Amino acid sequence: MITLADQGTFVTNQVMNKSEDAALIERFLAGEEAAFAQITMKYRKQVYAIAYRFTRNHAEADDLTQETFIRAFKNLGTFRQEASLKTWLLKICTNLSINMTRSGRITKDSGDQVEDHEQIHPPGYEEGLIFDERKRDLYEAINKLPPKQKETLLLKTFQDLTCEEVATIMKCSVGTVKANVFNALKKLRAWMN
Amino acid sequence: MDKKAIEAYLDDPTRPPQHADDRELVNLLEEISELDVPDPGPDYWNQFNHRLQNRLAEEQTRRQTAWWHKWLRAPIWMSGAVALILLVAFLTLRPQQAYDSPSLASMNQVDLQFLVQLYDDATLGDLTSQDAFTDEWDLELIDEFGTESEAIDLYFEPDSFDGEELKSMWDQKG
Repeated sequence: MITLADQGTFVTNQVMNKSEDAALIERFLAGEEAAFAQITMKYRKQVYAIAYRFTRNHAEADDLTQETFIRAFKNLGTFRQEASLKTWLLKICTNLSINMTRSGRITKDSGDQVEDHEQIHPPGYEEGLIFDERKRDLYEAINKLPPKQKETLLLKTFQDLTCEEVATIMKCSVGTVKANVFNALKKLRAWMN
Repeated sequence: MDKKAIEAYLDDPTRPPQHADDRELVNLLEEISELDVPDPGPDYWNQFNHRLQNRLAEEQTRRQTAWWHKWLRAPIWMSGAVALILLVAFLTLRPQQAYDSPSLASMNQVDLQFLVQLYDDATLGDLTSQDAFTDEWDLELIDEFGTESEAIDLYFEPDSFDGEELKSMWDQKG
């Protein structure tokens, strides 16, 4: 259960994040490239996570994450800071992911395994990769949803995104976001039962 | 299922819906929220940074050299237009030193005066191109041999060349 104190902390964090991001953007636009590296470090996991949510494929998620930051690097000068930097980055990544999923370019699910890079995994990593049957069924059901409902649902259930942020990313009204989420949930419940 | 109850929950997650049906939907929503994304691990993120830096460096290089790439890719008509502009600029701005030379300027002045004189003179001003062939000897030669060059070739045949005769003819004609 989220308390009012939690909400207060969340709002304070968002305000601090925004001013911190504004400073990073300013430094980058002044020619300090290290500032962009800091932006990457700060948001890369969130961008990867949203890409993975859409694709369920590590290689594609990796590619989308790289492409998102390349585009951000090229277009940061045109970012008007009306939305937060996080929302802007997630919007870029979501658009790229939607283009990829709708074009059907995604290779078949690689079984949620990270196989492109040799690495030493921390203990429990392998277990973390294994999805139980319920989760797999749920993902399959989400994939059957109409694209707009699926995309809205995946964004709304991603971390702490608000309906307003999802509306900004999806370029629609808050009412549409809520309606899409409601309709998606109704269908999912019917299919899952 | 109450749409408004779900919308209210989306606005304020601290107030879960009262109805069992609606709570079921909220539970489903939370279940989707908890679908985790596997963390690829620290090695992946190190490689990620390295690869991204390389791609950004390539991007910067491409941006720096983009102007001449664009120029090479520009349509031919654009190159033609630029060439035309350069030609016009050259013709307009080129130095006109030849006409500024004092000797040439004075020669032009002499030529001008001569022409004025020529056209002011009533007798000379009526001259036509036919009047240029006043020398009957020239006309005869051309009538006989067709062109002046043929006449000269025939006249100065090595076997029949007589320098003395030519000199006397030259003297007679003045």
